[in-house]
Parts: sequence; structure tokens; C-alpha cells
Amino acid sequence: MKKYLLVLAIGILCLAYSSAQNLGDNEFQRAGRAYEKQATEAMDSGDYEGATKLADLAAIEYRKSREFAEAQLLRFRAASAINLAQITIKDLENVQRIRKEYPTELANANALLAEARALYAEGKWVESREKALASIDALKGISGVKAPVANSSGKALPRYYVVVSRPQNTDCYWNIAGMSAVYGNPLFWPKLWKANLEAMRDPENPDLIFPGMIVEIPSIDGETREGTYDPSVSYPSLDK
Amino acid sequence: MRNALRILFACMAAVMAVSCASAPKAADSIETARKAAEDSRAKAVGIKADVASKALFGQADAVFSEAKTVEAAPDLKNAAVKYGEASGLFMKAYDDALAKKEAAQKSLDQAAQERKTAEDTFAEAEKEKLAAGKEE
Repeated sequence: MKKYLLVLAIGILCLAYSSAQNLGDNEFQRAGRAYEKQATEAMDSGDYEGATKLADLAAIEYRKSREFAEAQLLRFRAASAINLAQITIKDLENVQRIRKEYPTELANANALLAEARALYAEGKWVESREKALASIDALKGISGVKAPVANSSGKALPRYYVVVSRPQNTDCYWNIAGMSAVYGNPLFWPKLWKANLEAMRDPENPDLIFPGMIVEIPSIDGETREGTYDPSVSYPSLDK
Repeated sequence: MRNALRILFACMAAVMAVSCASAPKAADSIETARKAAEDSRAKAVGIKADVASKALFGQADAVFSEAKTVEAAPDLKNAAVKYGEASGLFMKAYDDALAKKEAAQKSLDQAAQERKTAEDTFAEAEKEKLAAGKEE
């Protein structure tokens, strides 16, 4: 098993590396590097005027490369915002009660998301991102599954957990079940999965949970649960 | 008559004494001038003025060669003057090359800075690309 994980990790690293190489390996960056190399050679040979001209050309190419990178950055930011809006809308649409109670908010969000996509297709990254963020904003009036009242008292264990995305050790049923405020044991993850089938996009695939999804935490030993998990609160331990 | 001869010998001795005393001085002077010109030339070559300031260096080198020819003539007085002139020209070539080298280094530093800025922007874009996920 460890072997497979190692191979998978190496594969992911290689993919990330090649992706980074592709982005930085644009024509301007390549030209800049070539000019800079020639400038260094001219400098070493004593052709200082030639070196100055070549180095100035390198700087011009690098500036173009930076402008290209900035455009890519805006494009990725727009795509990222569209992704987030889409995930948030889908997750909320999957909850029947929300679909019934908040059709206007969902329709508005979908319309704004469609505008964001159209702007993205036109290459208007900044405007596209703004629309996508507005789409998420349009969902703010939705209060969730009766839950998002933070359990600030900490007297009882939380009944809900809002999935978040982290750079490392991101949320999955295994990790959530392992949290001390949930079950304190990752092996109980199927309990979470079975209790949240309706809220999932693909109920057959327990790995598919998305940021913003509200996970209901059923009681496993008659313990009282209320409110939504708040990381700043210290919860009683589950004696299990 | 004897007195006249005495005066003549005294004068001849004085002339010889003066010429013997001044001979080593001329040799010292030419040595110093040649050494100064050679040092200036080495300094100019060290900064690659022979490439960077080819015309100025060529001019200095021509005067330096001329000085060597004059010295071999031998016309030590003129040779010393020529070596002095060559030394000044070599220093002029050195200064010119130095200014060009500094300008080139400044441009290279600027290019390196631009490269780093571009690379940093790419790194930032890469992070955003991961978040962009399937939209990309």
C-alpha cells in the first residue's frame, strides 16, 4: 500500500513540476534566457556594449513574460472563482429543502455564474471573477440545513460540520470522523457517509465531498449534538 | 701655459663628472616611464579595454610601440615622453572600458531582477492554477 502511495505522490509531484515548467516556459521567458546568456558571454569576453544591449533585450522579454504570467494569474483566479461558485451552488441544490425554500437565490446565483462563464470565454478574466464572486454572494441569504448556528457554548458536541478545503490534510469523511469533536475515530467514517447520502453529488463515491457542503454528524452513542462545529470552541470529549 | 692646461683639465673633468652623473638618471627615467606605461597597459588589458574600447586602446598601443622604437634608437628623452603619453592613453581606455562594464553590469542586474519578478508571478499563477481545477 505504501509503495502505491509513494508512486502516486511521485506522480503528482512530477505532474505539478511539469505544469510549472510549462507555464514558465513561454516564448518570452525562453527569449529572455537566451538574451541573458548571450549578454553574460559578451560580458565575459569584454564586449560590454554588446552585453548592455543584450541584457536590455533580455529585460524587455522578461517584462513581456511577467505580463503573460499576470494574465494567466487573472485567468486562473477567474477559473478558481467560477469553480467555487459552481461547487457551492451544486452543493446547495443537492439539498431538497434549500431547493424548495430558496429558488430565487439559486436562480440568481446560476444566472450570475452563467455570466461569469460567458465573460471567461471572452477572456475578460477580471469581470468574470467579479461575476463568479457575486454569484457566491447571491447565496448568502441561504441559511443552510437549519444548522449554521455556531455552537459557541461548547457544552454539547456539534451536529453539523461545514467542509473546508485545506492545502494539506483536506477534509474527507475519514479525517472528519477522526476529529475529537466528531467521533475521535476515523474508522467511523461510513456513519457520516450514510447519513449524508442525499447531500452528495455522487452518493456512490464517498470521496466526493466539496468545500461548503454541510455534513450532518449523527449520534453514535446517544450523545447530544447541536449547532455547527466551530474550530475556536473546545468541545467535551466523546467517551467512546 | 701650465695654468691654462690646469684649467682645461679641470673643465674636462667637470664635464665628464656631470655626464657620468646624468647618465644613470636618464636610464632611471626611461625605466620608470616604460614601467608606468606597461602597468597602465596591463591594467587596461585586465579590464578587457582591448575589446571594450578598441579604438582608444589601439591608439595607446600605437604610441607605446612608437616609444619602444624611439627607445631602441636610442632617443631616451623622447622615448620617456612617448611612454608617458602611452600611459595616459591606456588609462583613458581603461576608464572608458570601466564605464562600459559598469553600464553592462547594471543592465544585467536589471534583467536578472525582471527574470525573478516573472518567475515569482509564475509561481503565484501556478498556485492559483491548482485552485482553478477543472475550469482550466
